[in-house]
Amino acid sequence: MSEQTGGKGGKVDSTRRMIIAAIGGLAVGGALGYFLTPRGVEVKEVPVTETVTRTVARTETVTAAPPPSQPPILRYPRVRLANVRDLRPREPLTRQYLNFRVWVVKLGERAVGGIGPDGDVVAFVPICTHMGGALAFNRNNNCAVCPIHYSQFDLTRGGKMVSGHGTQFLPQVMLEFDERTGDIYAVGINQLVYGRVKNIEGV
Amino acid sequence: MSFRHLGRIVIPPPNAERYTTVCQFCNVGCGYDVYVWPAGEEGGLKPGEHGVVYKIKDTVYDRELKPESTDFTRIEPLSHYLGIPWISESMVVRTIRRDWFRGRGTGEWREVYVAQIPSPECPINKGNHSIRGGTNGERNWSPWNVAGARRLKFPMVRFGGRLEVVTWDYAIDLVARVVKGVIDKWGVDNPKWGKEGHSIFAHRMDHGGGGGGGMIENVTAGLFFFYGVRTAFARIHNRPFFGPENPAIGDAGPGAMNNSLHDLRLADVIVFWGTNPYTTGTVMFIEHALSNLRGATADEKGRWFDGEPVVDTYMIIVDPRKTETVEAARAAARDRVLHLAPEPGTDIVLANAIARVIYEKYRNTVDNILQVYRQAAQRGFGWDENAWRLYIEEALEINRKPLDQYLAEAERITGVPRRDIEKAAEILGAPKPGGYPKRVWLMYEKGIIWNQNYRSIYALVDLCIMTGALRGIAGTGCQRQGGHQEGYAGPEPPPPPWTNERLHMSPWNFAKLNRIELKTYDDYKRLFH
Repeated sequence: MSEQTGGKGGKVDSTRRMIIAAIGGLAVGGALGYFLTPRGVEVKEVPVTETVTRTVARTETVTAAPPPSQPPILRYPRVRLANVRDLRPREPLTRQYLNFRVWVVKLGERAVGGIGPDGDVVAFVPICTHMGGALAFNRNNNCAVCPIHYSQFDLTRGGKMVSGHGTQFLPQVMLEFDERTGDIYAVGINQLVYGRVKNIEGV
Repeated sequence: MSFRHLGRIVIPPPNAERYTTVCQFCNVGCGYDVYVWPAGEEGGLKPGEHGVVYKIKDTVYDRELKPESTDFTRIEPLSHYLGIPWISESMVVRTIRRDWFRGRGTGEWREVYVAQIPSPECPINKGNHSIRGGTNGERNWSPWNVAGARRLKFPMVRFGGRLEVVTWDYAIDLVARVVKGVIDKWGVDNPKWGKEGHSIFAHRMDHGGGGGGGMIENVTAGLFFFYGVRTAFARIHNRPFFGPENPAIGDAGPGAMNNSLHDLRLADVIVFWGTNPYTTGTVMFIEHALSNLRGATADEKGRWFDGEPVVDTYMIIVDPRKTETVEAARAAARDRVLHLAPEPGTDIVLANAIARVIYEKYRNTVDNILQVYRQAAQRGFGWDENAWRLYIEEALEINRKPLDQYLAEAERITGVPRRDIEKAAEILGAPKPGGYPKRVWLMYEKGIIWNQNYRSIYALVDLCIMTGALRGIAGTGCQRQGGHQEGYAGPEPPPPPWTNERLHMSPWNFAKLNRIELKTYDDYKRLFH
């Protein structure tokens, strides 16, 4: 389950990417991946350029429950963010994905969710998940640090908080890589972003 | 992270049930609002369309929150101060609950949402939270929470190196046989093993806190060990014995907890000694200590200081490790943070060395503060002049060793450079413009408490007496940090079966037990020689 997205020669394994999108906070790693295996989550086949997550309530134990709420289906568009040749090691590029300001950064070491020839290109929404501070990139340890209360997120580990107070991982932008052209595409965001009630309008 | 995150949360609808509570974790006690509503319903983002309503006029911190302020389309960094908190996915959980329209626990199972949101109304956290408190919501039980799958549900016994599930009957029988066998073979009291020798050593829980508990657990455990087994050797909670955690500060006067977080906001000097509050008392540190250090509470100080000048805040952190607290404080105010890293276990020497420098170099400050205590003593407050003299002469060795020799020894024992000791003394002892002593606020915790306990805490309290932290004015204080919310409802534990009540061995208790009268300075001196 801990397989990462990775375009194989421009062709994307759609099923695999669907699953990853569905799991969300994937960075927990192999062992937890077992527990995170969605129960009651249905992965739906859709065209390649969309990421769909759907939640199905398990209501066997519930008698006379009201009809479950409409499950949210978030469809993220596929947007070109950058070309791998634009990237310098450990220097984040700021790009726009939907209405999010995102960082695209080549970390110089293999990263969870990393793409590109070295598996080290990742993208994040650099807003602290604690109180919304604008994060600063620390090139010495590949962490993003908040200037308000000093929460720190490790970009090599899927935005896991290594110190501080946020209740979620840093929202990671899921990427696809076109080996032929070197283009990097954003295809979704795996966490709720600070300040939002939903990342994008559900369908 | 026990739930899958979707990139979406639901807002409580206007008819959601609303409760207020306090966080279950650390000592700070942040306020939380809890909302419960049936699954399938959802509130809108604009005020009036949802159930998140704040209404408070706080004259102490000069804040006002109105119901119409909670507009979730306008969440910005730190907007929780304005009554617009961001609700993360960890703060909302879907679970099931029996409806109680016909009485609690009688109705049918309903699928509900529970949101537990840090309350902007609460003056302790003002909507801020730590990673512990922020995940209170998802810690509520839910059939969809996979963390429950790993809970221990049955007793287990190790057979041949492997833990196996057994029945409760088997486990109770086994424990009873082991206890009975030990008593039959060695007895309960065992004088051969020393003065306080006991064959049965009990480590029992003693109170609730975040883990539940309460009177039944406490009383039954007490009855079993004190009346049933009749052992005197029961340690409780996190203590090595059955007694108070830091009796020294009780003997010294003020008791373990003696001020509020408001004092932390007003202090001129903040000392954290053997505690790591960035991690363990997070909101206290990031909301109050950091605000003070950055100068954000200067207006409040102006209102409370009554003409006394407001100066830059300094922070002293004593910890052998370079903790996250040190890093965070330095990031906030690099040149006003002093980190002292003594060799573990040498805190008494360090505290006394700082006190000695203050006593010699900032004598005016000390005399001013002693004047306060002496005047208070005339109005009935406790002040022990002989004990104070004993401290100056015996602990600080004021007439016996020159300062240079005293500090050289301290430097050798603690590993803290002399210039740092003198810097700490200057921060604590140098008066503010106008000759006012600094308002010193000190907090200690396990680094001191489990480090010779009585004497090390007393050394800190003496330092606090000298620097005026126990003057009883706003912005001063000397107390332990504490671990969590305490307090439980229940009867007193049963009286112990032995007759000789064991006391912690303070000089005063020692004198009482040995019928020594403490009247003159020479009586006090005899206690120690």
